[in-house]
Amino acid sequence: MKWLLKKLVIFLLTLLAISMLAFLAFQMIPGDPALSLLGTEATPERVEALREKMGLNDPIILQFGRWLLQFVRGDMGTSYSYQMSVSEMLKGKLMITLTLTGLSFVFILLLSIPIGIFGIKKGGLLNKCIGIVNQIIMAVPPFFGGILLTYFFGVVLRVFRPGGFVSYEQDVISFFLYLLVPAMAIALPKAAMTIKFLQDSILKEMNQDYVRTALSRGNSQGQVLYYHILKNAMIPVITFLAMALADIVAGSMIIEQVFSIPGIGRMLIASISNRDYPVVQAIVVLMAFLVVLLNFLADILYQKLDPRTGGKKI
Amino acid sequence: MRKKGNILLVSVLTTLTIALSGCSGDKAGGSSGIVVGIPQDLEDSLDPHKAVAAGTKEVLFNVFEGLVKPDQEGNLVPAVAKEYHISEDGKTYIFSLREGITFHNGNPVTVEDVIYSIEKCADTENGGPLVSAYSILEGVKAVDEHTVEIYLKEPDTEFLAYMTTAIVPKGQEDIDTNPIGTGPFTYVSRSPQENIIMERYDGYWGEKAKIEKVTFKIVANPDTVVLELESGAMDLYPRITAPQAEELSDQFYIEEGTSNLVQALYLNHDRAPFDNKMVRQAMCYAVDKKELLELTAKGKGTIIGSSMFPTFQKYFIEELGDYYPTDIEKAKALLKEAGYEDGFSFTITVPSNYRYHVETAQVLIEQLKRIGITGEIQLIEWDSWLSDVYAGGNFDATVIGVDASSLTARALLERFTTEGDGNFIHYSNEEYDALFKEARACTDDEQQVEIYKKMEKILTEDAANIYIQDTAQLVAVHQNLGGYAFYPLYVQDMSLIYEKDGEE
Repeated sequence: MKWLLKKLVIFLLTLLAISMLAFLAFQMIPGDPALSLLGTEATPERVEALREKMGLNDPIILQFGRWLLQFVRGDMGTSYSYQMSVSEMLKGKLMITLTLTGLSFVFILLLSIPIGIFGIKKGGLLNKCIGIVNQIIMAVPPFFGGILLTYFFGVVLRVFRPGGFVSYEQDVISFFLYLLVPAMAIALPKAAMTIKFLQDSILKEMNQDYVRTALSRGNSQGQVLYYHILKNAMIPVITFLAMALADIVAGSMIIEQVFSIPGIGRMLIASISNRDYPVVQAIVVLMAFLVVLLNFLADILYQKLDPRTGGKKI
Repeated sequence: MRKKGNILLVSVLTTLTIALSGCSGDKAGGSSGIVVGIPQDLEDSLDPHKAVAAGTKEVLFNVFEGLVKPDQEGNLVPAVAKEYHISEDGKTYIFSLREGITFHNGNPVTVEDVIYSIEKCADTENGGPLVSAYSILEGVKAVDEHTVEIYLKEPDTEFLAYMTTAIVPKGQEDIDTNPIGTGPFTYVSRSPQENIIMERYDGYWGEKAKIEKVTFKIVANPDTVVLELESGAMDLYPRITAPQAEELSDQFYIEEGTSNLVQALYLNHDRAPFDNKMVRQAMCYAVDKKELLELTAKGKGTIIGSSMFPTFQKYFIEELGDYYPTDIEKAKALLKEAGYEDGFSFTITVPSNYRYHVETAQVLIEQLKRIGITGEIQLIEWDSWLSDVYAGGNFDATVIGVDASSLTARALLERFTTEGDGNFIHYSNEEYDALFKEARACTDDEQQVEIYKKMEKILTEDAANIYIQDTAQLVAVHQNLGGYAFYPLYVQDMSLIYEKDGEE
């Protein structure tokens, strides 16, 4: 319990530090939200009046404090540029990004675990081939993989409509179908890494004494693999998968840009260039929250699976 | 055991293939309306009085109307007003409202709505009126239920051009996110970074739109435009580049017009050596506009020589485009005379989101090299451009396109008066300022045009900027659609688009 409490405090402090850093970073970069709003119609008087109205002339600490207080109360403020409530704006976007993340994760699991185990069991040349393909796929960054997949499914096979994103409010099936290809682009390199990780881990376990014992007791190869080895071999893989999941959330802005998906990532890029602080702050905190949360869950899971780590070690 | 693994693998792969083949690339049916691509998101309020981005205004044109509105020829035609009169002295404007005209929420437009809308724009509470020309507004008064009189502090015969200000329902608070106007389309919804959707307004007073529903889709990645058009994700794209247009299949045709932008290498007159007229002229002589157009836009675009574009026919002087024929020797001589025999180096600051301006800057640098001037490009974000270059004056030179906010020469020329709003190049010329005052006081249209033309000539002779062109606007339209219209302002009129009764 004490451990959990400690983790929780660190969790909150991390979020606070991140939001503070994001806030400070904005003070450093050039550009002015008031000027951005008025565009070329800005006159010094109008900019000044708007800055005053938006509270941009107050000291930074005060601005940050005001934002924090609002945020804690559950009010994320109003977007400067869209004049919409931030929470309303992000609700739909989060849905998209999380669906994409979930879909990619399912792909990773469906691809990596069967192929990884299959390769080990077959061994020999086949597994060598898997290893080589793996190495290649791992080296391809998702955005480039995305372009290749777009070309293959969109131009060669013509089963995918590039840029034809459909909102889930409009048509849930088309929405899922559109996200399949980007999800694959995200999943492929991650799945390749998972396969390598899983196989290394299995191989390491295979040399353990308990495996020999289990085999000598008359268990079949398969039984030992599924009931004994995998259970232990999965521990590092699960940690890796949790980190991969966090990585997908944080890296969503790249793939969303490539596939024109209006999710959280693209919203973040747009808000940064618009100097739309309330939106940027909300997204940064949200993403940080997800990443920290996933790592937190991984920690807990890790302990559940491997009692040796105990409660106090980490 | 081994079998099980294989089965799992096979089933995963088959579900994948089935799922993927489920999405077909066929064109969406007409019932779902048309999809129009726009190159930037409307990162703006939807309040027509607060929206500043040209990209927002071009879309809102379909939702809102003023007392008058521009037509394709650049005339102002009655819209919310049925007719108008301007008093002899140019100080009183009288508008009679159109009978039976309604807002999209069904409420009739009343004189109160008109007065509210105009007063809202004239309000100086926020450091100046929302429409800067409204600073000469004396007052607005309802004469009777259908007539509004607008009084000005000083005579202004061009004021009608500013009566295109959108008429909105009185006292509507949530107009930022729920725009209600009188135009041919009703606003339905918007999703940031995704789209904005509008539907035909069946209670429209004029000719109703032909298309039921229009989705303005935000194109995040300009490189995928061709792919999106070809795959059927988009039916119309109003800002396609010349190379992209050539890539398109015959499913689409191209409409060619002008963008109504004054594209130039704008020079900071506060900085040496651009405060020297001879240097500026030398640069003009060094630039080969034809070659530039050839290299950047496959020769498309209209060469200009001053701050005026061809669609403002009344004011445009074509000859100015050739005022400085390319002449390297002359340019070198001028530089020498100015004391820069060995040339100099400078930086062109360009907003990176405008790829076309960046390409133009690249060509300009090569051309200026011929007379020994070394240029360097600095790419910055649009927001930094606004704060550093436009407002801050912290630049040597920049390539940008300047548009007109209303249908008057004033919209383009006023900014270069010494005290003009938006005089970001810090140009100052006494003769120019005097002429502008004269033009404002003038009540005779013909005379006024002459004065404005004189002002344009001053900008050219003075080589205030290195004027280049009014860029070509290429519109990719699906073969099934027709009716795309060009306006002398930055707008997209969707009410005229119709579906062709084709074989399909």
